[in-house]
Amino acid sequence: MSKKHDYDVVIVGAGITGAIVANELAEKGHKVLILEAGRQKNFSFESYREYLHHYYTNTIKIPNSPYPQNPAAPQPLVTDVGNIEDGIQQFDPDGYFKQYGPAPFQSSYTRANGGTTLHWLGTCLRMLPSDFREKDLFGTGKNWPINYYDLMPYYQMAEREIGVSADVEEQAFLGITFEEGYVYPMTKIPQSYLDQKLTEWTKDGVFEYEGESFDYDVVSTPQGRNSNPNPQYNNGEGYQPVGAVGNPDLGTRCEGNSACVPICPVQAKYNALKTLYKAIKKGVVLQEQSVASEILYDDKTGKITGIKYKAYKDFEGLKAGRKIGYEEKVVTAKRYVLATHAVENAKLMLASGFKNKNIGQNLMDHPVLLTWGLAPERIGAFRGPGSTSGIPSLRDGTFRQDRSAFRIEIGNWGWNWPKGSPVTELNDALAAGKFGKGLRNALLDQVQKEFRMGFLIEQQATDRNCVTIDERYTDELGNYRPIINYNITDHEKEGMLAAKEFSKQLFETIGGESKTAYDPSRGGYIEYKGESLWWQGAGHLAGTHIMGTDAENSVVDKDQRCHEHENLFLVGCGNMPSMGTSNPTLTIAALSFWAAENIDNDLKDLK
Amino acid sequence: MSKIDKTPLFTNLQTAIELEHSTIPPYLAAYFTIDQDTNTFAWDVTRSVFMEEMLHMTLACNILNAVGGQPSIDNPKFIPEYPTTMEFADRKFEVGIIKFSRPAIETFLEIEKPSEQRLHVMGEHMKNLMEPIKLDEKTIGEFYQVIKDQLIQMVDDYGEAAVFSGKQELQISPKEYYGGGGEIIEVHNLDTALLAIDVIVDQGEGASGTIYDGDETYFDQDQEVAHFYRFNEIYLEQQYAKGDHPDDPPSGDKVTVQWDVVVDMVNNPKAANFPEGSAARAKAEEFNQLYSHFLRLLHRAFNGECNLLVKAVGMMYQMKYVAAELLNCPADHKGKMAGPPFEYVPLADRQQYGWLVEELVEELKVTIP
Repeated sequence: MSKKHDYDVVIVGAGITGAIVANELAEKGHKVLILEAGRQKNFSFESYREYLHHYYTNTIKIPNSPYPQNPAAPQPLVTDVGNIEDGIQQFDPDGYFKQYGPAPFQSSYTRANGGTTLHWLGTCLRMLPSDFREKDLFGTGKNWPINYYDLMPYYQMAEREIGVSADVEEQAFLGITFEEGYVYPMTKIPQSYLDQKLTEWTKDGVFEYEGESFDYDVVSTPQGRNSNPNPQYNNGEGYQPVGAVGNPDLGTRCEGNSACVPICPVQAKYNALKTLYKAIKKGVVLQEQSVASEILYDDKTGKITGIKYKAYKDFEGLKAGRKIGYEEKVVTAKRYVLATHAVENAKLMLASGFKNKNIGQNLMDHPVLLTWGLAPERIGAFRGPGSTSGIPSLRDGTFRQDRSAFRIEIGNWGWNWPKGSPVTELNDALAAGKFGKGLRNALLDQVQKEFRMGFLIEQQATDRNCVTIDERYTDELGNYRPIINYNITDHEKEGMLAAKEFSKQLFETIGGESKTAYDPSRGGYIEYKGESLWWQGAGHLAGTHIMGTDAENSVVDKDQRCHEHENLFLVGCGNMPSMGTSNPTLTIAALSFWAAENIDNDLKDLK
Repeated sequence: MSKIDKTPLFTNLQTAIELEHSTIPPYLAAYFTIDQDTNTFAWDVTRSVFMEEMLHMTLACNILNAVGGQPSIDNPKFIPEYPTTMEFADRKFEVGIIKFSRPAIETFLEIEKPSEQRLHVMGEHMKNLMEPIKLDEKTIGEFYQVIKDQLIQMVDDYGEAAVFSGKQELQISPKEYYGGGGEIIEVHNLDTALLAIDVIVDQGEGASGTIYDGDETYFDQDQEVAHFYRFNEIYLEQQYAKGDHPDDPPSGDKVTVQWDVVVDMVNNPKAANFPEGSAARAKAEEFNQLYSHFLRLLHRAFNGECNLLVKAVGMMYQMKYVAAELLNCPADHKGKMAGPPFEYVPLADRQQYGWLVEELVEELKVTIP
């Protein structure tokens, strides 16, 4: 006797991975429910405008500033990480994460429809073929159970869904290959004036480090933001850029609003609301204000029997001291998908008593070493997307045996990230008594020469960096708050040393002036081998339920299915055994297409 | 067979370009005076309409280029002197540069009003098809119908290749034109020319007796209410619902319009009316210079240098900023504010500005300080 299920598939989480899986499965005719913890009620542009309004009126423009904190489904904030006092890293005790350090975990994510793609920058790099075989090649990190070539067709699907702008010829480096004749959906986003000047100034220079030399190749970055459609795309079919949800005439090209992080005002930058909207039109049911709290499973077979969730009530105007009301419900399906972010997925499985010892382990991010300085002339800072180019030459090499690889992101928004520019400079100039034309000129002269580099340091999976739970730490609905243990290794610090030296040599090569100076009291400050270093989080949280060959070394198999729970699939960055130096979204989007295909095959077999 | 004479067609298409352009300054003026946060709906509607008028103007240029003509954009007669009178067979009304207000929306409704079906004149124009059209003797719908008939007739008489003899590289493509409802159509034969005209007519008046604009049919975009009906939604403070008939008032959600939350701009601002030496005067002159330079850039973009259209977009943003500055300058002592005059400055009188694009700097032989 077969039990009647509520749905074919239940997906937890309405971010990019959940949206892709939902949309693909709805396309195949399956009945799909998405449970979303966040609150956004509809897909009109009006509700998006509320986010914009929050952003404009918030004095602190952190990545989550447009997306209000929700006590029923709280989210971490980068400002939860405090200063270092008496050598000890401080944390906001009211922050969502309970952090045990010793190093601060400085990344955040967003709990709302669309997930963290609401505030991502839109960088869409493929991983390098070598990144999938790191253990074999360099004796460090972990291998993937699949390789670059397995993933290639799915990368194409992800590039279509996100709408990636790039030129193929420029992206075939460090072993990356593309199918014969492939082009990206849209032509590359024009590189900034800064990128062009850096290209010119570094043309003949080389970076020398530990007996090796590397070119300063400035390469345009593939981006999930609308540019001109490439007429050659899809064998001459072309591509239709997707504008804003609820206002489709808006955002069909990037307008250079220079607010990508935390919010693109016109949605020229992809966010998962676009995919969700398509999915809903195909019949996917999206249920907001529903926080999954426990995955129910059969102890003997491991099979999931349902997902328990808390459907909470509106809480505006709730009297002080009153708890948010909720109703506990259970929903069943033939297949289940957890797509609620690396940290949340792990937390949910731990809360459900899953036995796999790898759950929550191998937490990764890209620690970002920031350096900054002045260009020899005005380079038009603060225009265009946050970054339009990078320098890939140190993303791969035999040096990965000894130190972390890194990707260098060239920042178009002056010293905005490390120093809060240009507001800081304005306040300084005002304090110095400047006004009128004098003020304007002083600001222009400084601000228009500013640029910064971000070195995204590869971090390897280790069991010391992990997410756990503890019943002492819960949120208002009684769900667990994630507990984070996090540190960075000497391997990574060696990478940071190389990065700092790279910055020094680059400023010398271009005749600029490095202004990098690290404040020992700021979170993320360390000293290593006599050098001061300072790093921030990249928001690339990954690796909490990694993919591998068996339950001993991993949580999911190459099909993205849990080793111990055959009707449960996990998607998202948590599945990544390593990230290399690529921003992970494109890769997890590709893996989501892969997962959707496997789920569809399962469901076909059931019929 | 007589030699093909395209002069009347050229004249009509140039009229079409000017007609489409003439609506843009009034729409822009209203748009600039709307407070985006208060009157968001009106702001959205006005923005989407003027962007589609830009599309119509560009489509008309593409048709004219396709048949071998040359759009003339940078000429003294291109911008009407506001207030101007628009006269068609079925209506006559004044159009001015005025702030967002009920009178402004009344004018916009007049501009976009679906043409009367004048059955008695149907077919009449076939007699003198090869004449330039006198606009005041036609409705807008008829005007575009005549152009369609002219094209069809000429293709019948001379063949498609002879009529569509323009160079392909003159066509503005999606590479240069983007954003807003609808899509640019590259015109190279009768079908694409007729499609371009249908888009112009349907986005304004609604497609064949509906309130919708045809974007869904032509471009696979979401269904959108046509200009006339969108302005009517502002005017009646209520949206149309699915299934509403064009003759009936809207029956959908209410719209909030706060008519008094608006920049109190003088009617039909003129640079010369602002006191010499005042901020309003200086900014108004700057705006006029900018708009005229902008027309120059458009002229070049529509006459072979298509890629300059992308640079023109940058100048559009610049105009928006200067307009915002103007609307913060007092126009007089009575509390009214200045506004963008949209007055033509002859080429010889144009000056240098920091925002001038390289191409114009070169042509005008000026230096940027």
